[in-house]
Amino acid sequence: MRVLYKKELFSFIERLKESYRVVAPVKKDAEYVFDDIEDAEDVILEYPTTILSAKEFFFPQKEVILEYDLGETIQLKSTPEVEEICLIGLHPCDIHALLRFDEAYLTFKPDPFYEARRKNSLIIGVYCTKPNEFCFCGSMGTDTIKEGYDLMLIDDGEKYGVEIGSKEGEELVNSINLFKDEEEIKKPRLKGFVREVDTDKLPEIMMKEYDNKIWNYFGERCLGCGKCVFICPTCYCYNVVEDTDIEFNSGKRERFWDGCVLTDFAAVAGGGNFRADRTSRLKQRILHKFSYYPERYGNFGCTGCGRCINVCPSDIDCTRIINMIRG
Amino acid sequence: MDKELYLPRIAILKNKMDETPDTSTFTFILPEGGNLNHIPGQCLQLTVFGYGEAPISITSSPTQKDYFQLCVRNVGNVTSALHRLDIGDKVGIRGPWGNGFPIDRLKGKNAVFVAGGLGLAPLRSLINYIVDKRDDYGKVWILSGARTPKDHLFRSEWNRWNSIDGFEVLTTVDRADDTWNGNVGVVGSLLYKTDIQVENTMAFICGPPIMFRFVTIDLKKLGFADDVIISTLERHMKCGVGKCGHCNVGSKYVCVDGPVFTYEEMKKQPEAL
Ligand SMILES: Cc1cc2nc3c(=O)[nH]c(=O)nc-3n(C[C@H](O)[C@H](O)[C@H](O)COP(=O)(O)OP(=O)(O)OC[C@H]3O[C@@H](n4cnc5c(N)ncnc54)[C@H](O)[C@@H]3O)c2cc1C
Ligand code: SF4
Ligand code: SF4
Ligand code: SF4
Ligand code: FES
Repeated sequence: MRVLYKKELFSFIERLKESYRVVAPVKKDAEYVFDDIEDAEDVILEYPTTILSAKEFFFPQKEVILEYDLGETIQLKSTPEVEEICLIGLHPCDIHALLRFDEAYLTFKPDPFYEARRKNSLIIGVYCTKPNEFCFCGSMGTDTIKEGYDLMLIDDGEKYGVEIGSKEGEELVNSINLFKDEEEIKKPRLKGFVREVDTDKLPEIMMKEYDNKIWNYFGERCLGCGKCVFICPTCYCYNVVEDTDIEFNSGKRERFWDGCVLTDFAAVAGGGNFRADRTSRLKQRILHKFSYYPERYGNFGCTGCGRCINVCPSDIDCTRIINMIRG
Repeated sequence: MDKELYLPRIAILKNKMDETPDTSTFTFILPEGGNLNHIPGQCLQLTVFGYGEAPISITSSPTQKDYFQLCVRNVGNVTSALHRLDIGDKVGIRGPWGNGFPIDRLKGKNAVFVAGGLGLAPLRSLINYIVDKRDDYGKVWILSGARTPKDHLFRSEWNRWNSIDGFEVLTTVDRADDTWNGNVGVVGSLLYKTDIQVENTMAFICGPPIMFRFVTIDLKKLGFADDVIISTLERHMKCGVGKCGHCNVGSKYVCVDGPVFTYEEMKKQPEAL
């Protein structure tokens, strides 16, 4: 197996920076975030989880999807501007999240903006060694990973074992002389989860309990603040706004993150709202992750990263909802 | 085309005809000529530059080779901007998207159309398709209801439709005035005013959700099966291409899997009915 000694990590990142915009976890106050790396020494590969997911690097919080000039002939532009990016330090759950996002955005009528960013990205993951109290990837089968990365690092004290997941990954390892050939290093097995769910027949069970009163109990506590969907690595919903100059000579169309827990998400002209109450909106979020998404795409729409549980001001916890519904 | 998922094509407003005080039929041509090659029942995303986009059903039949039409009610930002456009102005369109009505399944069968208000707009596409492909289809009943006589759409076409062999047009209003001496009452009541053959017939219903519910009860009473009762779902739509999530109903996206669903399919999705 190829290995990379930790003392060589900085040199490795410096080399990557020659060809890529490099993003990795860094410490911010008491927490961790994915951020652009100026100084390779800021990178932290032993971390519990980041506050925000890495989706913003492929699906920015706000982006222009159309620009137009309304002259004699109308000029239209809908072209993504992308740069080569290297994401370092993604945990298996967050790589699974990108694969889920790919299902939603690339399998049918590919989204050109997302697609361009994904194609121009290099993913160097790292196996997580310690779940935090909110994680339940062990239940979702996302605590380990077989695809979706170029390289995967296995922490082994003073060095990393390197799993190669793609041709690009292999070329990278071969082109930089920092990697050595040594004995196989085993992947860690995560233990000590505080939260667990049973996923057996879960999509069907959740649908059968569609009218269960438990939904109201949680729905009535939801503030509709949207934090859960914005930090979720697999939430891909968006809204669109039009913006023009004052004389209507030119304009642009921007999309920005939106979410089904927000009040007007399913509102239509004339005052109607298909999800007028908070319970129906919370139900949409949970059922989309655990019933609708799997029915459409085959996998759960949740990776068990636990971020939504951590961030919710009302202590709404999808594992608790599931466990109460399963009884 | 898919590479340019969010890039509208240009269409030019050729004609505007008022149907009711707040609804008009807009005729567009494409600068490159031709039509949209759509399936009746499909919709498109209409851009009025400077205002935004709205999903609108295509009301003309694809058998019209040189233009396409949209019938639009003025309800808000984009739709009112459309109503203010002048002939010759340009709009943007993305689509046509969605599944459309099952024109192949309907081949050789009869069709009963039940429309409430603006619901006649998407149905008209299929009605005029059948008019132009008369030999492929059986009998046609068109039942249309509106709040008042002034709210009826496509009145100029009633006589033409009624004069076609095997076609029957029945209309009603919720409230009559002195211009009206026809039926008064809900559109579902028209189903009992004529002999509608149930066997070998498909029913197409478009209108407000509450009307769909009542008409479905009537159709079930008459003996229509769930898989020949066909309607469209209307949801908030932002992208039209299965991404933004706004039109999500259960495991379906109305924009790409619909807007046309059978009653059988709707019953399987929570929130559809
Ligand atoms: C499949 C489908 C077919 C339709 N066909 C027609 C048609 O043939 N003729 C017609 O007049 N209208 C049709 N509508 C309704 C039409 O899309 C709305 O009236 C229109 O979007 C309102 O936009 P607005 O900007 O004028 O109104 P506003 O109230 O200013 O719009 C507010 C926002 O809500 C969204 N929105 C509001 N109502 C709806 C709605 N019902 N559906 C989707 N998004 C909505 C708009 O995108 C807009 O961003 C159809 C809707 C759907 C989903
Ligand atoms: S974070 Fe909690 S309170 Fe806020 S919308 Fe999500 S579930 Fe509701
Ligand atoms: S639903 Fe919650 S736990 Fe699941 S992927 Fe999203 S943020 Fe993570
Ligand atoms: S429907 Fe809700 S839960 Fe599903 S992706 Fe959209 S915002 Fe997230
Ligand atoms: S309109 Fe965006 S998903 Fe259907």
